[in-house]
Amino acid sequence: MKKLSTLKLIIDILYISAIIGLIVFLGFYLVVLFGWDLSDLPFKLKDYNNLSLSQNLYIIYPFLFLALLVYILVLKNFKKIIELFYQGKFFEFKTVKLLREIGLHFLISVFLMVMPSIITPFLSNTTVVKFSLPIGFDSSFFLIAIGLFFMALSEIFNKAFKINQENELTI
Amino acid sequence: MPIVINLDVMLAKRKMKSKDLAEIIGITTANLSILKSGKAKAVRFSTLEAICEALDCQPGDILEYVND
Repeated sequence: MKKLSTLKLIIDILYISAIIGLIVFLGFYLVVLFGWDLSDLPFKLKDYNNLSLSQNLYIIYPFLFLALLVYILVLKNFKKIIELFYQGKFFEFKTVKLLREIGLHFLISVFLMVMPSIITPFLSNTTVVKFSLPIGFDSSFFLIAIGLFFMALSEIFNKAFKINQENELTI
Repeated sequence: MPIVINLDVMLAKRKMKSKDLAEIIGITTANLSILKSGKAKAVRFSTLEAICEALDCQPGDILEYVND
């Protein structure tokens, strides 16, 4: 079970860093929203001027904030599943439910991350449409594939849960 | 389920306790309770054989088909 403990450690680190990221993100959003002046700070913020000038950020930030929230939910459910696996509860209804939720949350987070790039051209009245090939692990297509994989995995676990239940109820 | 388990009736006829039967056939009292209550999904032939041997009866004395 060394792989499981390594996975747990990675998920824990990601979970904590995501929560810190969420707090920092919220702080920056408030700064942009209320137009607070951060020039008096003892340290310099990179691209701070660009950040405060862009009007589109008012609309983009909530989407990204929600995407980050959903990402935290994914990690939280991941932690719960690992905890269940630690207890030896593999084929339980709870595991099926959590896997389905993770898949669904993945798809929602992709939608939330893609939405700003769809809305922004309309807001800035530009006719330039950017196309990019879905290559790499950070592409939306890859995340959709991961989300669908988790949902398929939940269906497989559901079948395994039923077989396990039948086995347990065979006297 | 249309299959009814008449294990209680047979136990009463043989004046045997569930705990004793469970011990004889080598299953837990919890599993025997699942079997008696009709919650079991399946019964192994080996279990059925052991029950029939312990209660000196036929499988038909324990299992009954009732049309709903």
